[in-house]
Amino acid sequence: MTRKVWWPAAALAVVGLLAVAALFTFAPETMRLLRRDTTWRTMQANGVWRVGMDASFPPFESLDAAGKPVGFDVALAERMAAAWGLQVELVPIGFDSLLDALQAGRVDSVISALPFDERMTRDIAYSAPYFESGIFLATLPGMSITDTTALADRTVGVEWGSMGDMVGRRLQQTTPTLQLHPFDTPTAAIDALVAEQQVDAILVDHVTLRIAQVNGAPLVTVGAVLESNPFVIAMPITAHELQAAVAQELVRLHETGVLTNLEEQWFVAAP
Amino acid sequence: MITEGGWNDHPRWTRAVRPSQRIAYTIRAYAFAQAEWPWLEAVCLWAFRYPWDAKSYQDYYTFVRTDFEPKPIYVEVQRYAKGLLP
Repeated sequence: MTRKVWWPAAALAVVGLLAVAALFTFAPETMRLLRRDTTWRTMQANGVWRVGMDASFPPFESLDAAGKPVGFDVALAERMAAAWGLQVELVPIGFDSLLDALQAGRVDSVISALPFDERMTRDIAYSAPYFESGIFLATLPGMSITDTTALADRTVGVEWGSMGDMVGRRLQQTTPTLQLHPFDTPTAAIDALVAEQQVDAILVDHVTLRIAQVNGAPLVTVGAVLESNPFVIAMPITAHELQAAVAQELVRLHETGVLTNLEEQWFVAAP
Repeated sequence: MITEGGWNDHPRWTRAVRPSQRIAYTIRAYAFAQAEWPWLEAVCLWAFRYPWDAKSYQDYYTFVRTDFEPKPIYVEVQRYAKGLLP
């Protein structure tokens, strides 16, 4: 009777297990790609991209008179879905519950003027920023303010108590002769600069600034963002195909000027 | 002792106030308590600081950022406490 030799199979199994362990350890990206993206495949099968959104933040998302979601983020989601041959289904969710809904699988993505949270990156995948909403220094053309070092003996308008105010106080620590002029609202600060030249520059969030620019205010930004708060799209950490598709589409929308066109369409001040 | 109170100035929370209002209301609250309730030992408002950003409207209750940078409201209340406000 022939005796069965068991050790080759056992050795093969051990080698196989070691190879898988090595892949997980040294090539996690490869292992991730080998796993199926069930989010993307379900989207393709159903023809629908479920996007979580809290429609309470114009001009990014709000409800029109008929109760229909409208805004920059709505238009962005619709354009991206159309590029993939999908319909977008906007799922209304309160802002603080958006990421929970994503992790629970109630939505495929979140687009809702969502700030990037580095603490969530083990559980959530974020796109590259599609809008920087942070604080910028802005002035009028010809004011000869080319960077923050040129603010000595200048007066800068801020909304009292705002992040712009905080950035201004931070700048005063290195430029003590910088004067801050507080206003009750950011638009009052903008008016003080544009209409009255009561101040030399303003520190204001980029949403307010872009709305003013789209509506004709001759404001120019000075330098890079001073306090960053980028808006991003959130996706499941396992949805690598969706992540790649979102990344590719955002680049295309940026390079073709669509994102800028959306700002000009939706950042028009309310009458 | 009032153990908790305060205002929120988150830019997208429907129950928030403007940052300037938050400062004005907060200082007025301290001043009112001092003037009207002399028996009150302390007014504690929410919140000094969180250990990390909540990335939600909760962050806009704090007086100091997670990296201990004081927000303008903290500085204004400090000025009020020192009798430096007009």
